[in-house]
Formats: sequence, structure tokens, C-alpha cells
Amino acid sequence: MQDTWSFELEHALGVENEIGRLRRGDRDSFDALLARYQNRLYRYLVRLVRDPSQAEDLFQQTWLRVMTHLDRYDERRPFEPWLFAIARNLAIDHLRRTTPDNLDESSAGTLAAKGPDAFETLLKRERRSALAERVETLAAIYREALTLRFEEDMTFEEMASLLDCPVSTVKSRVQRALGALRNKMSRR
Amino acid sequence: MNEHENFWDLLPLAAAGGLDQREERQLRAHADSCRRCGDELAALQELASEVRKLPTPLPPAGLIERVRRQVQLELAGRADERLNQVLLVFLLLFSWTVTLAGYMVVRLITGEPLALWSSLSATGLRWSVIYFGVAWFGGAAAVVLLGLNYRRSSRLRRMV
Repeated sequence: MQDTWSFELEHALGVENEIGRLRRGDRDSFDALLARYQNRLYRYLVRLVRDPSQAEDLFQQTWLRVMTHLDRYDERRPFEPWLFAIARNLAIDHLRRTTPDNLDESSAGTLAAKGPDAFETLLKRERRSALAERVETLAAIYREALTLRFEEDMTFEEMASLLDCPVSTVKSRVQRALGALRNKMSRR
Repeated sequence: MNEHENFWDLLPLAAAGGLDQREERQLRAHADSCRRCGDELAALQELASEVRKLPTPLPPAGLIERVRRQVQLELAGRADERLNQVLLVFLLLFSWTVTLAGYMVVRLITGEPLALWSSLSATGLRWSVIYFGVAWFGGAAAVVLLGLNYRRSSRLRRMV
């Protein structure tokens, strides 16, 4: 537990340090910040809007907004929820403007494995592919709840802070999202 | 709603780790005695674990490079803004210094270094007003131009 704390403390101090340097115009600190969050932020946006090319635009806009609003960021608060809240607001604007149903087929990939585990691997991949498809058919609010809770591994309190709603609402969303996904998977 | 239905509704939240200790204990006790709830809880936990393992879409390398370039542009713009601000303060201080020093030089030349406005002749007063007017108008024009330039460059950067 202590290791986790010290890791989180180091992480927080590292981010704080990078933000401070970025405010003073240090270009390297932006690269460090980008490298730290690029995969998680992009995944969050893809899960929200489902379309990778739209997610790319939003990803770009998010970082630009971070730069233009950096003066408004309160360093006493953690950076991560602030960053994700910016991305979220941009994604919500985007979802409001576009029609909600434009599903992409998720690429299942080809089976490269050979040998006795091949069939099992195929089954696993098929299930994973089916799961990804079912997740995409959920409402945006539920997709977001699932990705924040399970992929981002956020606590309910962190989610409530990011989504700006009570913890009870967050719990209810996660509960419904997982329930809906379970129904979809069992109807497969 | 009976006890089984109550617990059944809580199963997804339990699988997501959203119950408090008391609720968790009660649900576990029920799931141990109710096979349907026990199986459903196990299935939901498995599902949650699979969601955790969904493949992560990675941002294309070109995207990261694009973002980097844009942000470098933004940072360069900010550096320009800071330079403009420093320049602005310098120009203001410089114009004040030149104005006051110029006035003192004129008084030294006329041989009355400590004399005030009142002792100036009408011509001297006229020239002093013109001198101050031009200096202050020049300063104000510089401020306005720098401000307009700042607004234009900020707008441009937002458009990129």
C-alpha cells in the first residue's frame, strides 16, 4: 500500500513539476505531459465518440485548449480530472452536433497463433470482439461510465469529481451500464 | 420487492466494487445461499474483468506529431506575448524618462533648472505642451498597436 502511495505521490509531483515548467514556456515539459496521458486520453475519446478520426480531432483540440486555458488551471487540484473534463466537454459538444448512431465495425484482426491453443485463442478473440461491439452499442453515458471505472480504474469519487455529479449518480450509471452490457452479451 | 430481487439489482454494482462493506457482506451471504445470484455475480465479475482487458486504441504517431507542432506554435506565441509585454513596459518607462529628462535638459539650457511651469514664457509653454503631447500620443499609439497585435496573434493561434 505504501508503495502505491509513494508512486502516486511521485506521479502527482512529477505532473505538478511539468505543469509549472510548461507555464514558464518549457517545451520539453509538454512532451513529457503528452507522453504521460496520450494513450489514456485517446482511448477515453475513442470510447466516447466511437469514431477514431473524430477522436483524433478532439484529442488535438483538447491539448490546444489545455494550452490556451493553462492560466486558469488551479495547481492545488489534480491535473488529470481537469484534463479529462476538457476532453469530455469537447466530446459532449461533438456528440450534440452529430447523429448518435454511426457505428464502426471493430476490427477483429486475424488469427496468427498456431498450435493447440489456437482454437481457444480464436474463441477469446471472438468474445473480445463481440464485447467491444456490444460496448459500442451502449449509450455514450454508459460507455463513459465503463471506461472510467474499468479501463481508467478511477474510484467512484474521482468519477464524480470529473463528471460533476454526486457519487450516487455515478454508481447508478456504472450499475446500469454493466447490467445493460451483461444483457447484451447474454443475448448473443 | 423481495430480498432476492433487492440483491439481484445490486449485483452489477457489487461486481464494479461499488458497495460499502456492510452491503458487500450482506450480498455475499445471500449469494452463498442463492445459486442464481452467485452465478450472476461471477458472470458480472468476469465481464468487468473483460472490459478492463479490452484492447486499447493507440493514437497514431502522426497525430502526436501534429499536436506537438501546434503546441510549439502556441508556446512560441506565448513567448512573443511575454516579449511584447516587456517591450511595452520598457517603452512606457523610456517615454516617461525621455519626457522628463528632455524637460530638465531644456531648463538647464535656459539656465533655470529648478523653475516651474509658471516661470515659462508663452512660447515656451506652447512648445512644452506640443512636446508632451507628441510624446504621450506616441506612447498611447504604441500601446494600442501592441494591444491589437496581441489580439490578432491570439486569434490566429486559436484558428490553427
